[in-house]
Amino acid sequence: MPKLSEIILNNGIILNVQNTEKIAVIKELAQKLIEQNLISDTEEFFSAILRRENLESTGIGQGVAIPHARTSAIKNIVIVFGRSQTGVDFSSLDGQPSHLIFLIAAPENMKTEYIMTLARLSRLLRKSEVRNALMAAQTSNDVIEIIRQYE
Amino acid sequence: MHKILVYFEPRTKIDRLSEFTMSLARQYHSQILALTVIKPPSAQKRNKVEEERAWKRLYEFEEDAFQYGIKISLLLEELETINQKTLTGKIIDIASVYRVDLLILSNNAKINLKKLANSVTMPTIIIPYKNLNEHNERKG
Repeated sequence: MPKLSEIILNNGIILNVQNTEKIAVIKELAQKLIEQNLISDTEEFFSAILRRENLESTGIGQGVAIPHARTSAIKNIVIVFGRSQTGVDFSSLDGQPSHLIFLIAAPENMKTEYIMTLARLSRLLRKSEVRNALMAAQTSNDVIEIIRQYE
Repeated sequence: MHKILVYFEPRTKIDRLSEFTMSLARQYHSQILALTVIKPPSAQKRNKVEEERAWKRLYEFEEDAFQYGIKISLLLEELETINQKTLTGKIIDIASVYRVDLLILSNNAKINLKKLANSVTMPTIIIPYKNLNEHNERKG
């Protein structure tokens, strides 16, 4: 099982997301995967992500959202990360906007790894010191180092 | 029936609970709130493993709901001390805060069923975690 710090893309970190609306933010993050040719079928990828967003609140509270999908449009499990100073409404049950947004994409056949990645990341992000450190991170390397340190 | 709160414990078997809840949610086009409760980091040494197990169980449940096209939200709550009294109180509180229309849990949940029955304000369904036939076969 790969570590979170190994599957978060160094070139997939946006320290100041430009958009403020949920779907637009997800597309902004997904663009990082497209730029790196990690998605074979963009339409299928967005469809998988958005289908889930329509059914679930991927905002897990405490300013964190983890939009996620399993799709045949990707070959390996990856994480891209975006940070929003203003916050984005991910319909979290606690009513708080999400500032730390982790997009997880996994192939259809990696269900176990996908579930474990979601579980590990969710656990990690419940720690206030991790959230605070991620909010203060200055570079992409800082983000990866924080994840590595706490996982 | 808009909202169904389903409670389960991270370590227990939930096949029947899951099957029943999904079936009801599909029938009534309900949203599911899936709840599990763990101790806070300060209260247990193996919190990392416990918490990951809890999240894993929640996301497995979510994945099943997603396959059926059911709306779902996940809730992981913490309790300093987990016993029948505190756990029962927490479930009642959550059900009330989120104004759920139905509460579903299994009879293997470590709760005080009498207190629950006397305190809940919404219909509640208790699912036997064992199939009755299985139970009789073992007895016989």
